[in-house]
Amino acid sequence: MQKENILTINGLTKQYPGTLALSDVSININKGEIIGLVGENGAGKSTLLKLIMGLEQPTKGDMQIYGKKYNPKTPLEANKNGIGMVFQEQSLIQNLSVSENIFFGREDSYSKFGFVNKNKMNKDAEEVLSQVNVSGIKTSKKVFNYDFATRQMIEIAKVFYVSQREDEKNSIILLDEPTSVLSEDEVKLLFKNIKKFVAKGDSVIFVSHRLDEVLEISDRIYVFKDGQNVCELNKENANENILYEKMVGKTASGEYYKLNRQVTPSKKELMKIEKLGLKGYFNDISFSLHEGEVIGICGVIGSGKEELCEVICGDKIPTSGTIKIHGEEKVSKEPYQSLRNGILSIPKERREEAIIPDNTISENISMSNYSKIKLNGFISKKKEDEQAQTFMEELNIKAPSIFQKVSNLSGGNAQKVVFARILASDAPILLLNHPTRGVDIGAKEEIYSLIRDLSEQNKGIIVIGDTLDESIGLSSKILVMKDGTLTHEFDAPSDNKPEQLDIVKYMM
Amino acid sequence: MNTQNGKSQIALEFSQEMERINRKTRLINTMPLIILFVLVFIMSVVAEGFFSLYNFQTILSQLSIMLVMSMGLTFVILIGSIDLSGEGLGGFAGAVTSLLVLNGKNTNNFGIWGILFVIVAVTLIGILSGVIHVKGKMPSFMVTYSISSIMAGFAVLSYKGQPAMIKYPFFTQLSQGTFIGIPILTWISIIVFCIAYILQTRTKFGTYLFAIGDNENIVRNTGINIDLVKVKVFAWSAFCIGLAGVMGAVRIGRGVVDIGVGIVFPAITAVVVGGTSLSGGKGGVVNSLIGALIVTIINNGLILLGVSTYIQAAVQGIIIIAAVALSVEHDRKGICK
Amino acid sequence: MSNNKRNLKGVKTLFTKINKNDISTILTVVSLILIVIIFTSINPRFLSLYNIKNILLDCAPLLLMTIGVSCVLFLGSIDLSNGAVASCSAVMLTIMLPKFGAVSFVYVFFYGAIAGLINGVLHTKLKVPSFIATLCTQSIWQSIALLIAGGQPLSMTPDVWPLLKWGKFSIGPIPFMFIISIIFMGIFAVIQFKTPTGRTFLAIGCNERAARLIGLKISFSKITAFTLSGIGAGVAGIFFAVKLKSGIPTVGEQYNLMSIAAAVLSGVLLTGGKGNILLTFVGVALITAIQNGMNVIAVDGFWQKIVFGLIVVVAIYINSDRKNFKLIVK
Repeated sequence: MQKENILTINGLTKQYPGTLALSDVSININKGEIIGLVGENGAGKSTLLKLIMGLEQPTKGDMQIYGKKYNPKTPLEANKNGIGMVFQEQSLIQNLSVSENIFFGREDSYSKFGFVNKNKMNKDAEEVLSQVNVSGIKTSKKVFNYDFATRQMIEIAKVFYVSQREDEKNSIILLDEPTSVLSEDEVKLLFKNIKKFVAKGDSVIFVSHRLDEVLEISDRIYVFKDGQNVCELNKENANENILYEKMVGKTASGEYYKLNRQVTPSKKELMKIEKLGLKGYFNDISFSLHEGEVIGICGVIGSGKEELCEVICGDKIPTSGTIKIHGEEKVSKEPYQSLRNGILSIPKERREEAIIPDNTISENISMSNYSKIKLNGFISKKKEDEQAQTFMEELNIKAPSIFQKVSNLSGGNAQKVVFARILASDAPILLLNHPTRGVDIGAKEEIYSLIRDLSEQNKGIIVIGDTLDESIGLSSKILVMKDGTLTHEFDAPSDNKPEQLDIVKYMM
Repeated sequence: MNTQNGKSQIALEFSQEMERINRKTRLINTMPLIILFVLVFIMSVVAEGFFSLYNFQTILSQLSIMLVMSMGLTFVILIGSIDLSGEGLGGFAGAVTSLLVLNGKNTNNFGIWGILFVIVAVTLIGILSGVIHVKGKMPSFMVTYSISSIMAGFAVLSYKGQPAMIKYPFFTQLSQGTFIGIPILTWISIIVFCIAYILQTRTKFGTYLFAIGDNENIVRNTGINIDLVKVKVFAWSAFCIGLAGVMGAVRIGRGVVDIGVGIVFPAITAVVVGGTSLSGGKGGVVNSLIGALIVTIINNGLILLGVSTYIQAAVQGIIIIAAVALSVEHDRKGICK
Repeated sequence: MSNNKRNLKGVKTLFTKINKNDISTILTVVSLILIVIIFTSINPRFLSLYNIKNILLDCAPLLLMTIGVSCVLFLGSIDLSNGAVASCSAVMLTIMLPKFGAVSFVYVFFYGAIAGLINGVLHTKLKVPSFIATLCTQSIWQSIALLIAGGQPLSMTPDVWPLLKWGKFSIGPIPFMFIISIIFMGIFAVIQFKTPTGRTFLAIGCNERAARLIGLKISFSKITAFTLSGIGAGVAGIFFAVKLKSGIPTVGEQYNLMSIAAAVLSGVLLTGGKGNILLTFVGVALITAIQNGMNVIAVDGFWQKIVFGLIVVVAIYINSDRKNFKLIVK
């Protein structure tokens, strides 16, 4: 039976500076279908959703809706074409009533002489909400009175309402990780509601890291890898093992990650983490880091790995557990205290978190350790510039001079400045969160050998790789996290690296 | 098995966290009312003469200008901005009004038209500061602070050092008249409150105020002209300032720039104490009414207790800091400038 | 034709080379020169040795307040209280001098530092936005100044005049007070450029999140910046009191906006992350020249309020980033 086609996507490509986020993706969505999208972090799922919603513009390729060309510039335009999205962070206004939220921006149809008829609005809102099976919502009450799951239902009902087409054809709803903080009962209710919509002929795109849920609800599943759509599976043909296999990327050669220079960690313990927890994010994490060791932490978004990093570098305060450095318990409330204890991080978002863009290369490099460039208690400009000059040559930073502002540098060179700062800091424990993000291939290799240099200098390193392959290639030990707990630990000596497939099984 | 535990644990902790935030929101919403009752109780015990008909009239009279000012400020603060122009703009309104109605300095006698002219002119200046803020992408506090200074200059310029005595009989009626025992000026402020309440709850403008304060990006994605809403907010605020300035002239009977001095600060105190968050999106005009009552009763009590008037401003300063510090979300990632 | 085009392109590149943020500094220097020419042509006495000494004397307190408030502006925060702190310290000095003698200067200096420290602590520890915290402390210090002085200007009795003599000293046309304020500027500049804390000011203003993760001491630096602003205001208050031989409880009021105006004119960004203590002198010179010039050509005092308000709006407008349409300004 041939189903009516709603949305067709043809060769969609999105190029960001330095990375190809989406490459030549073609998919189509039929009437009354639930489509599952799965893939590792950075595989291109969210980029695809953003393009469909008009939040970003594609570099190449086109989309068609009901056979008509579709090229949305804003989410509003997407709504008019019958496409709506439920975002991961909710977009309801807390201090407005349920009905005001549902009809937000559409008050004119309830207005007379500028006054909004709230009673009629509340009644109509009830009708919209009756589409989802949630009892006990009073549409005149403010949104903040309801719990997260109920708000999500309200939002889904709203999205369905706003994305109705004028010609009353069916719509498509995009759900981005809707289940990540829902309990099992709440997930069941959500699925029941999704199925109800689909029964009317609407379609749903469901993005989730939880393969069991995707398998349970989807009619068809697209698997994404490295920005490409690598395969399409019907429900009958799919199972977790096949999905795992399709999702994992290809393995780069050992030379790429400088495996011959991987250091066997010493027995000397640098840092010991015991039963560390942050309420609402992760629980009961314990491991220890030795001199010369590189520990890779793997997990999907929401597994708690990012927050674990933030806790270790002092950005967030743990709610339970301890961090011991050289056997001594250390408490730090601010990153500068962690730095004093010898921990420094390279954060994930370079522009927002790692560099001071309006300062010069020279100033940026000296920031994590001023004691080296002081003379008689004051900063010596001469010493600072000498230090910067040395690092410029050592790390091969390409810039006209050390007085260049970092905001003018390319991603790779800016990242090298960050590494120079880390080197200048002399911190023995380093957290590298996506150290090669948005960096071109050449600079990537230089960063890999830098990481090897660092572990040869007996530093302890924790790395969250940009890809799973990178984490495996760089690390001598791998910790896998899922739902805020450590699910498995792999040893990864240079001659016996674990397979990506094995790791993914513990991640999802 | 382990992972299922992990998931339910995280979901549980997450909903606990949400519940905690909700509880705090509810507390902040009810707190001002509790404070008001406690305050009335304390004052009636401590301050002699607090519970008297005469003193109630005094309180209502003291309330009027502050209430009008805070109605304007509430909307500005709801969208997360601030309007500091009241001092200069209010002084300007008062000074120019005194020169346009029957007065002892010149031969003008435009009566009610003079008042209307002033309020329209001040509202236009509000629109101007709104446009500068929105189109120039300049922080509202700085724009309005500068506008305040400029308008204070113009106010003094208008009467060239010698303020005009108002001789307009209507003003005397306004300042001394009462209706069912309540001063006329207070009635005016009550009318302004009602208008503000209707704007907030019965129009889409009111809906957008909360939304802009809560999350501007969502509003932008809905295709609403945010700039226009903001300019309207500053116009409304200036309208209230203009009215407050005229009311100040009515009360003092002289068109001095000092009418504007000290009208902004109590109004901000009232808005913040009432539970309207400085970061926007929370609170409303009812909160500000409660806040204005709290501030008025504190001031009234301080006067009854014989405390120097200079201390009132200091007390308000401490109250604002305490109210803001208590209501602020101590989110560690949040950057506060 | 093509030649024309090339010329146009040359001019264009020249303009793009001048960083957008440097424009205000250049404009300030140009307008300073213009103002001097205009005022001198209206009244030649403007450039007399006597008037130059006057200008420098007027400069001194404003310079102190401007270098102080600049430190806070570097962070992207603001200090609205420095005028009231200056008033309060002027009144305090007047009250203290007869009782404690010369030590009073030290006391008042520390009062300024503590007033600034309080601002910093309120802002960083209680997370109160700086404009509201300093607006409140402004109100508090203003009330205290009025309370101490009883709402009236206080004159100093002749017996303490010997302690104020230094205010009259000068080396040629350069008053001693001006030299002191320049010394303070030097100290503040050393703090900005040569200490980790001072370096952190601009880093916070430019990218606070990064500054924190880099391992810089955010709270400490912020509190230091506010304290420096308090010190500047406190010493400015001493100057006011010494110059006028009296404690006027509202003397510093208009200097708050003037100091912000001077800072912004010198190229300090209101959003933080950009500025130079040494350059603030240019802004201060322009503001003082305008003020003094208006006095010399006998313009009414209330025009000054209008002019300074306009200057702030225009200067911020020139500096502000209007191209970034996603930027949310509250």
